[in-house]
Amino acid sequence: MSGRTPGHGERVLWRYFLPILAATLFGVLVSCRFQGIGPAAHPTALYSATALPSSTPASLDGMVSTPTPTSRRELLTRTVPKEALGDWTASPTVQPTAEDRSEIVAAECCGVFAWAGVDWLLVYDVEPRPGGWLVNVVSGERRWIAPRFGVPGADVIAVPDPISGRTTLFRWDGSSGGTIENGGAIVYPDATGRWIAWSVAEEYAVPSSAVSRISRVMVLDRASGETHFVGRLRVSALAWSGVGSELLVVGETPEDSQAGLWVATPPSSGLHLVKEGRFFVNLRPVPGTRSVLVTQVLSGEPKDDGVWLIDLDRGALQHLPIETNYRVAQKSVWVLQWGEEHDRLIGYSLPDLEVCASAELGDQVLSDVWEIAPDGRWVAYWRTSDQRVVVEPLPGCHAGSQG
Amino acid sequence: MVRARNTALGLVILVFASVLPLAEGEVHGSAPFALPFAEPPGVSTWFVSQWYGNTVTAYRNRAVLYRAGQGLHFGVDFAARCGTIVRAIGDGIVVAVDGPYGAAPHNVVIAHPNGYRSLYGHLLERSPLQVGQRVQQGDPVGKVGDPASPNCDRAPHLHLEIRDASMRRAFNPVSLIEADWRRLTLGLTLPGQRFVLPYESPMQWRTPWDQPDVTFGGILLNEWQDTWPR
Repeated sequence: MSGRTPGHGERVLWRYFLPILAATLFGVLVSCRFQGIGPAAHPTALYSATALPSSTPASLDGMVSTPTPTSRRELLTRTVPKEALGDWTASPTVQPTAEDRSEIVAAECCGVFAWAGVDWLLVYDVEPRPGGWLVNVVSGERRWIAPRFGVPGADVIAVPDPISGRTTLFRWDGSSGGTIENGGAIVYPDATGRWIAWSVAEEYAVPSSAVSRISRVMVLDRASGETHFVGRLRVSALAWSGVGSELLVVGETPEDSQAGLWVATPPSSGLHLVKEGRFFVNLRPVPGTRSVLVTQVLSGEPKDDGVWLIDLDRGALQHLPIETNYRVAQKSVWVLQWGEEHDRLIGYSLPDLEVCASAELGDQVLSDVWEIAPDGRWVAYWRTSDQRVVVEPLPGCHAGSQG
Repeated sequence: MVRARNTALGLVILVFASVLPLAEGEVHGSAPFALPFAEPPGVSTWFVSQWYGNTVTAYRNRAVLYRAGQGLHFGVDFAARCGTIVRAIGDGIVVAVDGPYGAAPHNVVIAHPNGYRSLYGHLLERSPLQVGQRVQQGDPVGKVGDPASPNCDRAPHLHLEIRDASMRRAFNPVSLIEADWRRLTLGLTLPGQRFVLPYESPMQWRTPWDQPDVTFGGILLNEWQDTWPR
């Protein structure tokens, strides 16, 4: 081929075909864009860095009247207000209003976050530095905690590291508060700050991905430094009650003879069944209480399927007539209604379950990733349009009103 | 002369091929297939329990259960009571009943006129359909079974795949089945309804609509050491 002049075919190719191909490709791209094909229908995340300060500066005493729209907040280095730790009801901030539709961008990407305390959201973000960030949704303060995401507790954030095989407990200022040699398992601190639970898988292969592995449930007493074996189950969910000290486990016995929601009170008690049955999902303890919401599905008895409110004190069960896409705050439960352009949250007061609030979100929630702040004042969600994590204020939940 | 003719022929083919995506795009505007159940989703009927792709449960089972599919979940799982009637997602011809495609204990494969094949796995019993039999969209294919228990009390679900004619590649059913997918999870937040975040590439394959095709026998696509969650 080299050294010869182009033949007729090549000339045709260059003169006619390539322009036609270019025009066709342009047409295809335009067509895809307007027909909503592929990624255009679900935009990819934004990588661009935005300017840091764009909001009302936080005052020195940490009080800001209302949240303001911002794409990125100023990085500050204040300490956490003492009131913010372990008490969902005490808040140093002003109650946001439903009319204030301002939003806070908590992260540029990724859809991984959890509420850590009053007005504090733990979120994974890639900018300006990849890792777990504590974000104050009122002041905009952001603190980098660790290169990985973790589980927030009353006074620490537990960050698992599968590479080193240990989980590190980080204080809210980012300093280390100790490590747990547990293979780097995800651990769950309780609301009292004393107990930490995790499970250790004993088997590798399962007959179906819908079957949980047989695991040993372990609890660390931070007061004594002792680790306790709680029980052995096929664990599908693990959580502490809203007041702490009581460990909740959804699972079945290794020989599959019993299944349901189990409770243990370490270090003295083993696991005992609170509600027997299979296919319990969406376990959500009510913050600050000894109640828990859980959903049963495909039980074979339609009257048993649906959302249950379980009072661990009295052992009472209440079947709740709400949809299954719920999250729980201290005195309310919120249900997400999927909308065509904007999703909507409906609030129900607890325990009487009257409709108490309604709020239209600024966008649609992506992949069911949303969480209500434990005090019910904020919703954080993964926004569909740009795949950022945003926080919006919620109206107060007052029984008899609908926001 | 021959070369010029061949070039012209190539031109025609290339132009035709380059225009094809337009036509395909029009098909995508309304996806070519339908859901495999007649009943509406619900806590007592069926719901999506595991998405296609880079799910948390796929990652946890990448080395064994999903090794053949590059470590990803190469179908969509619909949790349902055992015995629930499974229906054809499109018109076609049955090309396999209990063929060598996994998804035990029983499976069915249907070839569709648009070149795709649909696979219905974990069926309760051998399908009454015969190879070569024509089916229409909505026709019964079999019944939902449980791959983990003959008593149907551990993991009853339909595993639905869409592959190419060679059965070597699997595609994301979410982009090929017309459905309001957001509502089909019921918001239950199961691990199979979540996608793993690899710290080395935290924005990759994180939503039901953004998942790669799978080539059976290919290398693992999710062999990450460091993820959230594990």
